Amino acid sequence: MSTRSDIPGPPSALDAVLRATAATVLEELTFLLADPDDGASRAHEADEDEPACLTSVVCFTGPRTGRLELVVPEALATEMACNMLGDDAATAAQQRDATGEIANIICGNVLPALGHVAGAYHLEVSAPAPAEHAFAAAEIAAATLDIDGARVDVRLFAEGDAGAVN
Amino acid sequence: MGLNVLVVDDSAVMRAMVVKSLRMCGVALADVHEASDGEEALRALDDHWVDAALIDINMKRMDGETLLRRLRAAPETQTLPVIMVSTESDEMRVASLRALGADFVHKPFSPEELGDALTRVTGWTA
Repeated sequence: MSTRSDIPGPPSALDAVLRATAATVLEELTFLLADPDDGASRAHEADEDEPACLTSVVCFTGPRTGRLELVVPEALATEMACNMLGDDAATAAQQRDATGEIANIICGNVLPALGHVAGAYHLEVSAPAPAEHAFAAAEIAAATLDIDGARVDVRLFAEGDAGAVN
Repeated sequence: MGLNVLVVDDSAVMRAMVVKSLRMCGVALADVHEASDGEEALRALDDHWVDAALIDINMKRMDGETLLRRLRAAPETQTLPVIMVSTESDEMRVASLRALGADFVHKPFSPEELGDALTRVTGWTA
């Protein structure tokens, strides 16, 4: 579980790539559509009664080093796992597995947007974890999506500058 | 007769999605074997004959690329049809996997993409 802070500042090009990638991956894996409007506006509405959330972290090494964090309300994580499995129910382990895999796939698909350095990335297996991670990497992109009225946050951290956007 | 397949992915949910996707595109499956990493996959292949293996790349203990190289180095699996199923986007790495005789499906995938890849590597048709 974690708490979430609001995402400051106007969206950058990398924010837009992260948001589009996350929306596509969520739609294709879970059949859930992100509200086409920026979810940040609804995010403020949720502050007073913030739901319990699952946080999945994917660490990557390669041309750049960093991590991607995906924060999903537990109720939505259940729905996502059920949709991925095609079942009516999902265990807590399946919810963590599903959100971890979603984070993994978002991360793998957004890393090419960092561009300008050739080479393969290695993605470490994702795991539920506190939002704060052990190594130093700055947040370079963030996106908030509205999925069925629930707030989903995706944040990308990497060492060095924000890089190119392909 | 259905196809015997081995699905290798560290995510049990993704393994279930792969199997579900194959069934959705009309693949008649016989025995479905699962493994969560390369070492488990090699043990499964010691015990079971399969028509094709669908393999993730990033896994603990033994990753998919190492597994593929091990398969190609062993006489009994050097021609096993393999589909790598991964988020990998590095063209050189994908090319090196293809050079080892593996097909490649990018995550997220549609059932049709997976079915088409299975057709390419096994000759299976609906």
